[in-house]
Amino acid sequence: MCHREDPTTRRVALERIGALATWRFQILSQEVILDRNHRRPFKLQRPPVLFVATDIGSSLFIYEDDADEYRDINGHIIPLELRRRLSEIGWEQEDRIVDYRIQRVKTPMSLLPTQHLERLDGDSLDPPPVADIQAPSPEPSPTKASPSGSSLARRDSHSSFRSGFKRRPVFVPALVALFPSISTMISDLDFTVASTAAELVMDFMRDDPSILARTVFQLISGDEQAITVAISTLRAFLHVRHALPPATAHHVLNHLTGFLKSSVKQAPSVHPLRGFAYSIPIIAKLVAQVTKLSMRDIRRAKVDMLIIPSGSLWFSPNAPAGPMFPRGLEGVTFAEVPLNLVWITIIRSSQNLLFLNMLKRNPQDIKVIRKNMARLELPSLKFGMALPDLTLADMIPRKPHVDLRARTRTQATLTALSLTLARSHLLLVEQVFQCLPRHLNDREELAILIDGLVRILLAHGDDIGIVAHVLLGMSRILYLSFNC
Amino acid sequence: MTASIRFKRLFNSGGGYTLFMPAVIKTYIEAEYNPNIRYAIAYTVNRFYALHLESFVFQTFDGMSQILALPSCDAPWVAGGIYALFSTLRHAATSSSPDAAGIHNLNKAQEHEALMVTMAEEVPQTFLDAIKKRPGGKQSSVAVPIPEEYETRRLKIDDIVRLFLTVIAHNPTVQRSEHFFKFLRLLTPHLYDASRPVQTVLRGGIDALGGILTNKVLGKAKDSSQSRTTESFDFEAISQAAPSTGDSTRSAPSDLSTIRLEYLFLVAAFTAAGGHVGVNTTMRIVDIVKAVLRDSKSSADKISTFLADYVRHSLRQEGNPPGVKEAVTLLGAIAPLAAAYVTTVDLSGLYRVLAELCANPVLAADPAFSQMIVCQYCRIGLDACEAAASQDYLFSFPLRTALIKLMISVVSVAGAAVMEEIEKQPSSHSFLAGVVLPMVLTLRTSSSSVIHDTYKDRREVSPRVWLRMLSLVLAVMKGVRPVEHTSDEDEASDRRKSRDSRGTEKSYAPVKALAVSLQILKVVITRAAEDISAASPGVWTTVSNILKAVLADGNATFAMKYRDYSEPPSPALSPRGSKSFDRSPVMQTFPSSMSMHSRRPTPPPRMVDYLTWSLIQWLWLHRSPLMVQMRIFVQERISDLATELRQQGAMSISGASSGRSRRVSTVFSKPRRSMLGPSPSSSPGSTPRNSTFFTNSISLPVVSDFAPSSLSASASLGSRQAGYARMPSPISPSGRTSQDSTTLKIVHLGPVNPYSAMGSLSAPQPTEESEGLDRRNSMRGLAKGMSVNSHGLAGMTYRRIRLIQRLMGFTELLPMGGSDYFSDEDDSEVRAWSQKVALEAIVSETKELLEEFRESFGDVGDESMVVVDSQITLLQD
Repeated sequence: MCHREDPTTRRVALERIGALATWRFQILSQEVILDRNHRRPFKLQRPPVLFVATDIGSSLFIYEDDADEYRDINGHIIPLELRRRLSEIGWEQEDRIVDYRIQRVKTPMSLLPTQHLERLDGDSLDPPPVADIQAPSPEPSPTKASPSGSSLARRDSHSSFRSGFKRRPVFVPALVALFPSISTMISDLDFTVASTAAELVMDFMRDDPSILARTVFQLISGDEQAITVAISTLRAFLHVRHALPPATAHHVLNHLTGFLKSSVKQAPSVHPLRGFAYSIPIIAKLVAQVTKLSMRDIRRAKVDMLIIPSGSLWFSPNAPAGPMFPRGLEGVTFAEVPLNLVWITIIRSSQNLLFLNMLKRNPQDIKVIRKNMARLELPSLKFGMALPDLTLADMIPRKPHVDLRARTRTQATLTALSLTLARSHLLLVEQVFQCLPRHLNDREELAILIDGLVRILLAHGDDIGIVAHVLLGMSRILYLSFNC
Repeated sequence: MTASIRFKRLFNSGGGYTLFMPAVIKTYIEAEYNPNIRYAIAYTVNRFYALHLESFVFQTFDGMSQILALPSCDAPWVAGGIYALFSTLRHAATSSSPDAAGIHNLNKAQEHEALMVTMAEEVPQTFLDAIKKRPGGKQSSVAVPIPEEYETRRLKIDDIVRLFLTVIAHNPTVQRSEHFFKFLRLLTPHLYDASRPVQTVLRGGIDALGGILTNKVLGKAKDSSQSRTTESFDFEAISQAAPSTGDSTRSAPSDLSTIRLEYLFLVAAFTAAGGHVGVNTTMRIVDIVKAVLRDSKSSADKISTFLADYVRHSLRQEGNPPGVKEAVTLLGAIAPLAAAYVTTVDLSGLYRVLAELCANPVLAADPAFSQMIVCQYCRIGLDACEAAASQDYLFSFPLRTALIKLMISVVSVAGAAVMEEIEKQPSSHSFLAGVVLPMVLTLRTSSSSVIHDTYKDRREVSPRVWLRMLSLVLAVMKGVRPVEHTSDEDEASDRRKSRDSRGTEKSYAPVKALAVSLQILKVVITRAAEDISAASPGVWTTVSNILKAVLADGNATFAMKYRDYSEPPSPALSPRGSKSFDRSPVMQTFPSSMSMHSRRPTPPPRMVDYLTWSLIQWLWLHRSPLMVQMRIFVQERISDLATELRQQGAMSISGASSGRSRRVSTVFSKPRRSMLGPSPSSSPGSTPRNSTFFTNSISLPVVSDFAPSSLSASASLGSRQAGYARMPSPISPSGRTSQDSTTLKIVHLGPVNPYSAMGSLSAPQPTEESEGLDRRNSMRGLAKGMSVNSHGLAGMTYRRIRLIQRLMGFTELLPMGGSDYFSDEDDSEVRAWSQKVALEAIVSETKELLEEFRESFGDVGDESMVVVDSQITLLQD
């Protein structure tokens, strides 16, 4: 749209938008002559966002306890399990004092909203409220000051405004609509343009994620082209910084899950699975960054069916009916890999990674997945058949026969898909092994997990990365079962 | 104690390794050409071992043994891979080993956690100390430092062997130990090469297992474990814990004989790898073999291969030849076994191995060894062959060829003893044909042994063996040797006798033996005439005397007997024109025509006649020292025949087709060419010699296209054909007819009174053989009484007579019987037999004889039995 050949032109344009953005709070404070008919200036009609965002996690930065703190005198980290048991018998390490300065050091200042920083500087002598894990942070969140009438207004119940006056940003929809273009300029060939765009986007991500992402979520409900634009914009956001500001992470995550929820219900687009496949990798990434995200929230938002992996490739019969939850390959042509298969592989891989991230944060979540783990199924063109059990005959070593037929593209794609899913599954399983209670007495459960590992090893025994991860996973289970 | 607790816990949870180790090992083995994956897996296995020690090894082997037991598994390859993997456990994984997968030490943190938890559980006090706040200050201290990771331990290969042995010995009757047996067998070649302690342990284990398997009747008691409890306490604990965890199929009882078989294969593998087993073990092995054979007949073939392999590997090791003593001991241990099961188990493999052993100069030179071979194995084999012969399945008896091979190889070192053994056997005709004849055919003569042998003494022995052979044959011919078991100790011969008495009134067995021994005689003389002459020049006289005595009754009178009854064949029977009529038309209808009995066919020769003419043909066509001795005998026969023919011609019986002069006037428009018979002198090369008296005895004009050679060449040996089909197509008559009458025939007339000429020779006969006189007489009677039924043989006799006549210059040949068949070959060229051709002719003739005998066993007159067993192969290589 504004892609001009001249990098200078692009940069100047970006700078001007930036200037407009910084002035957005000041515009309303200008003296104006009121028009009776238009009591509120800059109140323009905007296209609506078609879905309702969920409310998972918190948009604020919350300091979380670090496991590294618990060490014995040799500097070894004491395992969580032992810690818990110790606390049960009253061997709490009472001598642990909360060091606020360490907390301050560990707070990512550059990710917090600018107003937040001002406040933090102001009352630095007081014990900062972020230390209290239980209570929501009393910090003001000016970014939540979204224009009234927006669907986002509901979320504002969270944020309380400590400052007395209400500042309303003014950023007209025409400018908001520019953000997809700006986000593509983050990867502009000219580094001055790129850094300017990144800086601009970053400012918005800290202070006003709703404005930044508004266009995206208007587009995402649209047709195929629009979805592509929306998703690539979000991806561009993700690439600005490896850790997004908590506000943005929370905003995007909740909107995406909201979008998915709405697609389940109404199936607005031709390929709801496509939207699912496109958005879930982003959700998986953001899960690690949204603070105070818990399984309980996810359950309450009723999106657990969407984001919890099960191990099986296709959805089980007890999943909700609809095109979002395919039960298997349908109407395939064997000439090439069907898109459904690609999408479901992406979805499953992303779900694995998503849950891996959740487990890393909170090992307790393991019980969610333990209940409904199914046997791993790698992508293949076979359909309509139940997954055969592994027998001893599958374990017979066979001499590698030279395949005289050239590998077709379909096969290559299938292998790639299978590898993708296998890798994500391996990571997840490794983490699961680490999170499982040491006194595991459910053989069945263990068997399912090991079955997955074995299947992966059998299918991709020639890939050294896979082999290495399988071996790691297997070693891990041994440390587990050592005591059972 | 802690160890056993730990193991118990582990097994209660149910051996996780069996869940995934097969897949890991599959990956390892398949990554043959990807060393990085192999390094990664080896590292991991190293960690596994560090963690769980022997229980890991046990579980893995347990899983793999099941996989190896699957039929579609390339077991040796897989076992090699497994060994490669586990042999890496000998060395600790070092940081220097390649780590392309990047997994080294990645799990260190987890290992440490696990260790910490373990310690907290097992010795909580220590752990609490580690984190307890010391009163002195904030710092806490640890009494016992928690190790960083599991200590790396090394696995000794002989421990692997101990593991196997313990598991198997724990309960040998379950399927698990069967699988472990197989696994161990597959690993044995690798294990054996590993190190010396491994070899020791393996040997000890094999010994102990042998003890278990022999002692245990039902495999309930665990009598073996106390012997090794000290050395492998851990394994005991494992294997005791194991059955409770394994699923039911693993501990399902297995067939004891299968286990025993597996044990035997293990022994074979061990010896194949170069191991030696002790004397006690050998005894146990023999016991086990017996037990297996007792239990299941079906495993006989496996046992036979085992025995062959076992002996071969035990006694034929490269670079480490066993001592004579060991060999004798081992063979001595096996000999009773062989004796007991020679009939049910195919021991041919064993005998072949023995034959190979005899090629070993060290062993062969040892008298004890050759004594063992001859007095035990040869005797056993011969007994078995004789038993087989008496039941008519000698030729399908698998041991036969192997035995012959063994005897031939041992005859060079202990010829006399071998002959002694052979002579002990009753020489029935099939024994002679099946054992002695092939042996004679392949036995080395001095001319051939010069080329092959490097040992002088062998050349010394050979002539003596030939002499013994000759005397054996002569004894048979004289009838002094029993041809059957006379005593009733052998049930088989009883049965046989009873059948004989049922089938034919009197047993022709001596005649059959005579016929075959005559063939053997021919072979012996054909092959080893030089040796015999060199060893004992005077023997020929004896031989010829015996021959004359035995064949005294043989002549051509049979051809004259039924002349009166023979009629000219009706032309209507011939579908062809008269020209082709004299070739074969009657024979076309001959075998099947029911009206055959009204028209007498060719009078069948008596057996003695057949043998006589067969011998004479051989004498005439192949040069031999006997020629000189037998010339008179032959001439006598021929001149008698000539006289007879002349008389018949003078009598000019009407309607007879016999006389040459009559032939012209019969219904046949054309005089038969064959009657005229080409003279030997027609062959230009031989013409000058024919004029001298001794020509025929020295240079031998021989029919090249004559029956024997054509038989061996064209006739398929197994299936009998009608005689006419064997005949080569006649040469175009145009070339020969000119010679018919123009050539002057030289007629060699024998002395009128044969006894005057050979009086001095025949004089010693009665005194020499007086003790066997009545036997001989009876044999002569039998030989006269038995007639040749086979048309091929009968026709052959006619042709032989005609051939001899022609060779000796008679023009008036014996007609081919009433139904004139086999008449066209006469004009074919006559050529001397080379040794090879002679042997071929003898062999094929013997085959026919045997067929003839076989027929006569059954219904004598059964003409429909044309389909003849094709199994008859005298020499199968």
